[in-house]
Amino acid sequence: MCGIAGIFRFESNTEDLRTRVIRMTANLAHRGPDAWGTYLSRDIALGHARLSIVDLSMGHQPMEAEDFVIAYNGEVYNYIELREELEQLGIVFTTHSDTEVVMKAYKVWGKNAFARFNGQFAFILWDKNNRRLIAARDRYGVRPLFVMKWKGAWYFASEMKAFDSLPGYRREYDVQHLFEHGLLWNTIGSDTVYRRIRTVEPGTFEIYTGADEPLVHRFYSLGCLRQETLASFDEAKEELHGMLRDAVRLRLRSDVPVGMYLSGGIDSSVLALLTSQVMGERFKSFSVTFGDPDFDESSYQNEMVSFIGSEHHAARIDYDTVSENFLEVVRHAERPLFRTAPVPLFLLSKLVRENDIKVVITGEASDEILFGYDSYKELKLLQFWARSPQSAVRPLLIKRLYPHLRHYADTKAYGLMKLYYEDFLDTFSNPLAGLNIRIRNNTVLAAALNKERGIKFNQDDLIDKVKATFPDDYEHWTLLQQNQFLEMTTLLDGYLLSSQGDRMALGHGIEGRFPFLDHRIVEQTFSWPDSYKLNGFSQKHILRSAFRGLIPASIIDRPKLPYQAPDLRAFIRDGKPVPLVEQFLSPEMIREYGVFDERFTARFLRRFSERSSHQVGYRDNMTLVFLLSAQIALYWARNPLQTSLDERQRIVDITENCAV
Amino acid sequence: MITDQEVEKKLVAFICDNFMVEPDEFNYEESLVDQGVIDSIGLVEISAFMEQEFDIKVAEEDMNRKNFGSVKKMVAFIIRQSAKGNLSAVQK
Repeated sequence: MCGIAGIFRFESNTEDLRTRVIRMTANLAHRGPDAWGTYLSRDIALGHARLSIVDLSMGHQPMEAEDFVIAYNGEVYNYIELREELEQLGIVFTTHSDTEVVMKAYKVWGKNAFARFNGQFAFILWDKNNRRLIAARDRYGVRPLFVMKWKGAWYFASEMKAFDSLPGYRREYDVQHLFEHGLLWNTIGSDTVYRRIRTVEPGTFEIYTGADEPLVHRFYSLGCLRQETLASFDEAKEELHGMLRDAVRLRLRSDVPVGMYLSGGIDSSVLALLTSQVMGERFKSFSVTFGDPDFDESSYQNEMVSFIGSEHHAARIDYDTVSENFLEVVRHAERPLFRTAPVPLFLLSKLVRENDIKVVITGEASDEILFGYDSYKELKLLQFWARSPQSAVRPLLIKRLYPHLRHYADTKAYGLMKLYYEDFLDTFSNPLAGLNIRIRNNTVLAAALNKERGIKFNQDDLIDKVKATFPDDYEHWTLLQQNQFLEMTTLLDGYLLSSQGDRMALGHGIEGRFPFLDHRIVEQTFSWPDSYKLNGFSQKHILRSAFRGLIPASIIDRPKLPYQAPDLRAFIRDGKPVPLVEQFLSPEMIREYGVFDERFTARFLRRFSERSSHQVGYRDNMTLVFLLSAQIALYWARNPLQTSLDERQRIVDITENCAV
Repeated sequence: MITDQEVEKKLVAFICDNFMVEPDEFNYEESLVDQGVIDSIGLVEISAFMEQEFDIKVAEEDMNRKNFGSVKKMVAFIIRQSAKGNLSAVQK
């Protein structure tokens, strides 16, 4: 895995261009600590920080081949098969890397190459003959790529902190986008929370030819490969097993050892089993454990470790670990967070690194594609209840929504929970599907923002903006399929794969690989009837059925516990905010940054000092983590760290056609 | 006897302090959930506040939109429940 940077249409002297691209690349060095290199030509520069995984001796970057140069971050797992196809067409290869395959696939197949790639990637490709630059990103946004137009030039980078190195530039929030990020857990389309900075959207590539806005092409959207399926449940089960095994097989392609993350849940346990079967040898597994038993899953982890016989390592997390590492975690995440769960994963990637592993298999996205989230259950319940709103029996299902949350199980509070959900009976089937509840809960952030910034919440405007991102046949999908699209474009892309995924793993130079995001699996499971995935309230039903008897029953049948870490409990101790909170949410700092409302913040903190036994809910946790991380992210934007590169690790230094 | 105005004042103060809104930032005749002022736990907190502050009982059958659908409706509910409480105290 790597960090990439690029500059296009920068009209100045070569030395300035060189300095800029080196400084940008330096700020990405944590993503690729093994080597670095640059390519410079007239008004174009590419930079690359490399984490060596495939073809360790030859796969240096930026890589040049005839008319193309590429700075590439990621893995195309089917590169061996693609290479064979290209060789049959007479293409000659000089390395054994997937980077060269990607470049030559584009040379031969042009924009049709993207649909052939199975993997996770972001790259910047310079087409010398046509003098155009192509910026592309994988289907689901596993690997990041940001773009900024600044003083007439285009800048590209894996992480926005690379832009902080540009003379005279300072990252500033776009407060409206910040609010939308707060409501949805992601910005919409190509927006980011910062002014001027866009993201290349997952499943698209952009072509830059000059100072004008790029041409954006979409090569993938959810459901585009969907085929009506007649597979019976049993056939589908077999199919899922086979597809997952193949996805794991492809993701074990690596010239360095591969380890895995084991959470104790069904997803990672299934992958651990398949990894063990495909690899046929002992591998290293890694887990997070918590001092607080409310979050700890180590008994399930240990059960799976004994079952597969892996060499296991665990990172133990307590309240102090969360608060002590939060500053650094937000520096890597670069945007506001909603939970502290990225912190343990940041420390886990450190542990992985210390154990000489660079690549880990991990279970993300199963909850999205197999309807494992509670939002699917909530929608199903509302749909069922809405067909007979007067029914006294139908809403009783509420009690089964969140068995791990006290106020759902409490019979006394049932009436209130019913009252709460009743308010969604009229709106749940609007285009925001499961997001309606998230947005309603997160609207509290409207009151948190500085009133002078003039942020207003208009649900209709938000719906219109989100609707503009829908695939063509969205309206023909089931409500749960629509919810899958929304979960994948908000929570998965904007938080799980980025703030909690890529940034936390690459913070310590670790590459995550995601078998559930093999697009063949995503598309095939999308085609199946909803009931294969959510059967009654049985979530990920088909996965449970397919692996019953193959992994311990206690893991198959355990109640779902969302992966979480202590939020408020880590930051408010005995009714008193920890120093980090006191500093960043102090009236002085709130006033200085001007993002949040002083009175709101003071009241919010007072709420916990006055009542130590206060029952803390989703919203309080989320609000505190959002306020604190938003302040810290802005602190890093204003006080960026500039890293420097070791000249001895420079392996590529190409300069051509430059006026010296 | 406590008046509507007193109940409303206390209830609004509780909502403002606990859900970090200003008194003029939300509508007293619309659902607090709809307006994004409270989440599901917020309903639990308000219900506990009612019981404690106004010494009334909130039974499961009372937990409906008629009683909890807006600040105004909550005020009316508290007044009704208080009157019941006073009546039963007199009868005893």
